[in-house]
Amino acid sequence: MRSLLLIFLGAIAILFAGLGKKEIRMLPWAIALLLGALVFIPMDWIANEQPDWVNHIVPYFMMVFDRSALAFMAVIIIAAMLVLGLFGQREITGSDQLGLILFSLCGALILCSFTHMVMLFLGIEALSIPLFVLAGSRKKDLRSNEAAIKYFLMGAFSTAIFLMGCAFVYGGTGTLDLSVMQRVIPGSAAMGGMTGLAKTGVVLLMTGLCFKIAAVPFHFWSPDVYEGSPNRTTLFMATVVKIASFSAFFRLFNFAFSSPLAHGNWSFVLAILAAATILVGNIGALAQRNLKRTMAYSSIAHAGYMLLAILANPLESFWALIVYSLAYAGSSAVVFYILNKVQEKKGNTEFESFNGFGRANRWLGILLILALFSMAGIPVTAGFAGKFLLFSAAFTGFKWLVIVALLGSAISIAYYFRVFRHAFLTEADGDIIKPEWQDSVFLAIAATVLLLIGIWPALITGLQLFELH
Amino acid sequence: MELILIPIIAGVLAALAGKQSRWVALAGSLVSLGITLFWLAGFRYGASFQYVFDKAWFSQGIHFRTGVDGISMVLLLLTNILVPVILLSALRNDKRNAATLFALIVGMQGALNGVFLALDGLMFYIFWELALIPVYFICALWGEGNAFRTTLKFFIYTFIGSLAMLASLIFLYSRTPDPSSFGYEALLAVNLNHTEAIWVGAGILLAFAVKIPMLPLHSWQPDTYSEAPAQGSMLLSGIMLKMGLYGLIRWFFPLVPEALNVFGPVLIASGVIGVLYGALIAIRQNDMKRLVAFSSLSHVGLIAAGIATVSVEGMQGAVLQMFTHGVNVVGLFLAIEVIQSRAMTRNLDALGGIAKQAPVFAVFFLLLVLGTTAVPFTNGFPGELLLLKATFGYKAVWGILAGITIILCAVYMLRMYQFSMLGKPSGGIYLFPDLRWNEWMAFGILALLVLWTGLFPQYLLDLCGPAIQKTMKGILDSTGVVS
Repeated sequence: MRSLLLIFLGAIAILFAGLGKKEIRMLPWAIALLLGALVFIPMDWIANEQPDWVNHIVPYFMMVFDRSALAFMAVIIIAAMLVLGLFGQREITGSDQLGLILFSLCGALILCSFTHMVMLFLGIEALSIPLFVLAGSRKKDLRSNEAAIKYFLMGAFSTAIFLMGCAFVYGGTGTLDLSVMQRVIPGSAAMGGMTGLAKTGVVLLMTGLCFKIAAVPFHFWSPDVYEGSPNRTTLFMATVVKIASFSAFFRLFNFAFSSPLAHGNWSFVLAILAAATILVGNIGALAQRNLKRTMAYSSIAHAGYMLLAILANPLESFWALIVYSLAYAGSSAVVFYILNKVQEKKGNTEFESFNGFGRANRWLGILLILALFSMAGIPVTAGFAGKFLLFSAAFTGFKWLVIVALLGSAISIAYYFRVFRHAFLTEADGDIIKPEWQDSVFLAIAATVLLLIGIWPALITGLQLFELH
Repeated sequence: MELILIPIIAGVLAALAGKQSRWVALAGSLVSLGITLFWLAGFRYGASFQYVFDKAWFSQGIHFRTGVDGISMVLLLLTNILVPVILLSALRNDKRNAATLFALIVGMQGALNGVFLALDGLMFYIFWELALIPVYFICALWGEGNAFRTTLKFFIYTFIGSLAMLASLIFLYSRTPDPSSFGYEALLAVNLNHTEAIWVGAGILLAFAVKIPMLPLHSWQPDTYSEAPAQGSMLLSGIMLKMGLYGLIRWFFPLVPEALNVFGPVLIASGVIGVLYGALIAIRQNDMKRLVAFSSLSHVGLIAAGIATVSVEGMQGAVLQMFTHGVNVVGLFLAIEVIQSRAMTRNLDALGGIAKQAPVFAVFFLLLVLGTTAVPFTNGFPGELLLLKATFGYKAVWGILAGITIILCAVYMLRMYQFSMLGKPSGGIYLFPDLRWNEWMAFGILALLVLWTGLFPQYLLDLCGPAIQKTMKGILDSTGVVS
């Protein structure tokens, strides 16, 4: 709670304090704000309010900052810090964009901690509305305008579907509170089964959330929006928004609809969506000639892998999802940073623009390899640890899906290595890029996250979600 | 633990060391060799795992657990002798970014040691993948011709194989009693029914068969070998293929003994056909590297067939032959590199008469050729004899077919030697300086190994004997349970 309040109040302060100043001058304050919020998390972790999810005893609040919420909040704040830290905008005046990003972050934090559908809805809206503006923040750029319109239409559409889902679930269960809902939904068919209303509601909720995470077949907006938006916004969408939506997905489906019967009703549909997402994302990425679009498709594929965590036994897959999210946030940040710098020099993000990049920039080249390896899931990077934990958690229930996911990872090698080929194996002379010192700090943080978790995943998986009594 | 960490740290240091990187890398790999020899000196003959290091890694079920028995000792010895030799031979390398090359080679040593030391399924997988990365970079960055395409093919082939293995391992993991574990013994204790064993085995076998490579999954091999830089070919053929063969002995057969009656015949057939196929194609090659690549395919097929007979001779012969083949093939690629760096070609048509100009080199090269052709008192002979005996004992037809390899091998090896070294100097070879000191030392070490293994094969056989008997007992006991 403290983190959320701090960021919200700080965002207002930064918005007003930044009037007429260069944005870059307000950036350190924003970073400090996030750091402050991050410091609260271990404190709350130790003295946590601890709803007993296992025995369904949850205090009647609309939000609960239990350990699962805190873990996601930490990941999201770190991801947001990377986004802000790596994309200092020198030319922008006024801190309106900074403020919008922070407000959107507040929405993301609400998505980690809701226990009531109204709060979930508010979180989604608080997350999305600033993004509609941010997507169109390059006013003179047609593509940015296109992205904003597309994102807005799709967002409005998915919100409507989501609200409809809420209404149906309310009709079927008589409540909007997650813990009550869990008790009301019967555990087995013998207890009466789920009503048609509730089932429809669950499917509609799933659809609404799948729009947000860009799962197939609700993914069509994402490559265009990702390509058209400014790089900072794209990275924010790809990491913070996606991870926050997954935390909401996880909380909703694994706590409210987690009874064996309910799980049986939705899990198969979701498994099919996951398989389709993995395949479409990876195969779509193969066909791209532009790194930014490739990353858009690859992020669709990553959403597919992360859906495995929703399907698996939540106690096993929770840390898997956290590790995967961290790995994904870290590697995306590195790739987008490099992509942004290359775009500043060359004006586009076609693969050809990366020719000779690795030869000209030794350290950034090594970082790029590390990030690509992590995305492809090659050992001793955090990406491997995340993939492995996800796959082994989902294996007992969904063997075929894990095999599809493995196939998907094999396909992904081809396009990740294409980046590598352009960066390292072409004769062209790349432009030398000198990162600012503060950029180097955040790149180092990202690299440390990728390597440290890759080598020692027990750092994260060894944490106790419940206090052992 | 130290065998894994020291080379990797040396690799990182070497990457940062600039001009001195070759010495840093060499020092790291020599320290690692020293530790291996120290372990060998203190090795107690027997089947148990020694020098065990055990620490919880990913979770309580996934440990960082290493240990050595006779089989892994032979392979550790091979790795830690060959990597310094490879570094030694590359010392005067003036390729672009040589520092990175040295760093990758010595880092690879750590990853390979990890593969041979691993006693935990996931750890084995991780190092298995990790070993692929340096060699991929070596081949992609310093390769010739269409290196990116070839190496990508190689990478995707092996990566798909590895992922199949990962799926199989996770399956076994999910079957271990609660709390689930990836430990070697825990995975071994899982009982599968016949169908499951076939699926799980197929997944694991895919990874190993690609790496060995077994027919029909070999198509990445000749291109990769011939387009890789010399160090890449040496690492790939000398040590990396042994990962697959070692995997067959240590992991594949013990994990799925239930399906021995299916995989045994398949492996033997594929191995023996590979023996003949590789040998027949090798005879027609003019590119020396491709020739050695196909000859390697042929030799490795015999080793795999020997392992698949699951007999003491077969397995012991296989372990011995792995060591031998590693030494010989590294020597041959080194010889080819010597020729190519001086004559600027490795095409047999364009070569000839080198022996007169470089007599020392000619002697070493001949010794390696003889070792590869399995002439008595050289290292190829005892292993090949055991392997052929085992194959013959399994089924006479296979033994006879495989036996032809001795003749064919003599044909292509001697043809290579004759065309390149003997006869009149041809083409542009007017000046062929003899070996430099670092090449001299590398060849010297290899030559000593050729003679030592040829004269005293019993040492290595005794080393791996008890461990092999234990492994075999484990395999045959559990097949007995099922049938």
